[in-house]
Amino acid sequence: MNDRETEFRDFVGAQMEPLRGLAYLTCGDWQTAEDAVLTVLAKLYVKWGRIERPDSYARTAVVRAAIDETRRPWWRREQSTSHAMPEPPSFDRTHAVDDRLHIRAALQHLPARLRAVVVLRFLEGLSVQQTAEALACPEGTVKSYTARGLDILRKVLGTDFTDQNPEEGRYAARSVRPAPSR
Amino acid sequence: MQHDLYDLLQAAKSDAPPARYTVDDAVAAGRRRQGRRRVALTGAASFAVVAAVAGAVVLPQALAGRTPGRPDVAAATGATTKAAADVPFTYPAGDFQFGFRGYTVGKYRVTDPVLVAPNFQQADIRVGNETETMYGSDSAADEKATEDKKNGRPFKSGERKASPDDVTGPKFALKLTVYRPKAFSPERFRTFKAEPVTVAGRPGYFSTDMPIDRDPSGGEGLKWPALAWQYADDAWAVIDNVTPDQHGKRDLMSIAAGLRGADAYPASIVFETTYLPEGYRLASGGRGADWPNGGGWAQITGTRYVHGAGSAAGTTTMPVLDPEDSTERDLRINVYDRKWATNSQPPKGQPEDAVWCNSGNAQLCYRLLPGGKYVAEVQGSGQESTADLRKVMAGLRFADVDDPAAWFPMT
Repeated sequence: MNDRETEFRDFVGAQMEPLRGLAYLTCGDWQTAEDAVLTVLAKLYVKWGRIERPDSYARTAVVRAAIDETRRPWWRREQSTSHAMPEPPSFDRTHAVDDRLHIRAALQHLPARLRAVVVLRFLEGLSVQQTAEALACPEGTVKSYTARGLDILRKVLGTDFTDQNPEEGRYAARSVRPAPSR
Repeated sequence: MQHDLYDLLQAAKSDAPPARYTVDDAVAAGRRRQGRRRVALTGAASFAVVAAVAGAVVLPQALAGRTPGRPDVAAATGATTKAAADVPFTYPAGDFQFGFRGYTVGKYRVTDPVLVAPNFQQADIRVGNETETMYGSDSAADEKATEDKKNGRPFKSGERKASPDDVTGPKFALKLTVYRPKAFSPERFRTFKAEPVTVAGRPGYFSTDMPIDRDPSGGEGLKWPALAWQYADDAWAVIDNVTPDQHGKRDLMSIAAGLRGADAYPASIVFETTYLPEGYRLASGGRGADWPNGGGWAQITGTRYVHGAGSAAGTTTMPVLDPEDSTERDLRINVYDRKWATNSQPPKGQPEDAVWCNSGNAQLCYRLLPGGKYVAEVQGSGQESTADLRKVMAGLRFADVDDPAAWFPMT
């Protein structure tokens, strides 16, 4: 095995799982996410050694591939999400499964690009500028999508978001807090 | 109690099912793609957009070692591969006309142009009788194999376990693209500090490391040797080479100096459309359509139709178009020999000329040509209805594949 392939294997070993999760959160389907990741990694293999920032390349390409998958007609048939906002669910915070189901349901209410912005910013920890570069859109669009995305999540989850010092915490430019008593 | 959005997003993906793919799968897919990409870059089949969903574009498959035969369009149109008459190249007025014929410079054989778009026309360049093997099988076992047991060594980059489905065909390591006047700017060559050269008394640039496709992360992308030269005022042509260790500046400049003009003649394809969805227009075609769906010996014909103006408008600075991550609204129609396209078969019992669509991917529909030896495929962008794709397919009229003189001129 040559050095090039060893490096590529090391990279894939470390990044495949995070990329899978990133793609899943963007497109909402594990199988599609895995296919998107494999396609991107295959492209990366060909370009290995010629890409300055393979992690950045892979992340960007995976998100774009996952967004693209959501445009396909078969996906739209499978994902019959209504654009109407549901009633805020009862949020049993004692169970992780509730968190999982609720955030998933909430993410499904975001159009793919808004979802990608939220995931890149709050899971991957990218800045507005980095997110704009990843999605090839203006920084103003990222800001707007961030605000819209968080607003939708707030409404769907029935929780509130408060601004926090971006310098504090991992990636938490904002945090989710329980909704006030109803 | 406070929930962090990061924690919630982590939770959302925390019950991931077991991964279907491993590192080995990624390497195998990369190797397979490398083989396909090289073939695609060098002018062969439509493999670069293999869909990552159920139902993909057809993958030509054939017996090992078979060099696919295809109709000799050059012979049918009176083309020659000998040295062209000493007539300066003039770009044709028509959107889909060719303006030069194939020619030979030493060991380099420039084919007749095989692809045309309103702003450029392309030909492949073959070195001697070089051939290249394209991995045709999608077998997981084949892809996972990393050891060349036959020769007792690991596979080299781009190699893979031999399969009965592998296809061997002519290798085209270089490509000539002649741009319409004002359609190409050499600015990118200057940006990357390409070396100024002179070809037939006119300015040009040569670089051993010219990025020729886009990198979505904003980087520079793949780099290959390339030569751009001015063949007439405000008019440029480019030769790029995907085998960096071979064919240097002098070789590319010699090939460039050999370009001559011919009377304009129409590009022809094996079908004509009688129906396209509203707003779509022919963007490119010939033996293949725009890269990476670009064609070569595995395709009989490939065409691309875009909605609205499309991305081809304006001046390009890239030697090769590379819309791998394109989200453009477009349709692609390809015709293959069925021997190389076995992954979607017509439902049993349906009439021979009936249209069928892929059950797992509604943006792919097919139709057999009369006689059943060839198959046409339409691939939508995901923004067209399946009903429209069916209508496009049903409306195709075919010429005799084996009689290129009777093919339809592109309009």
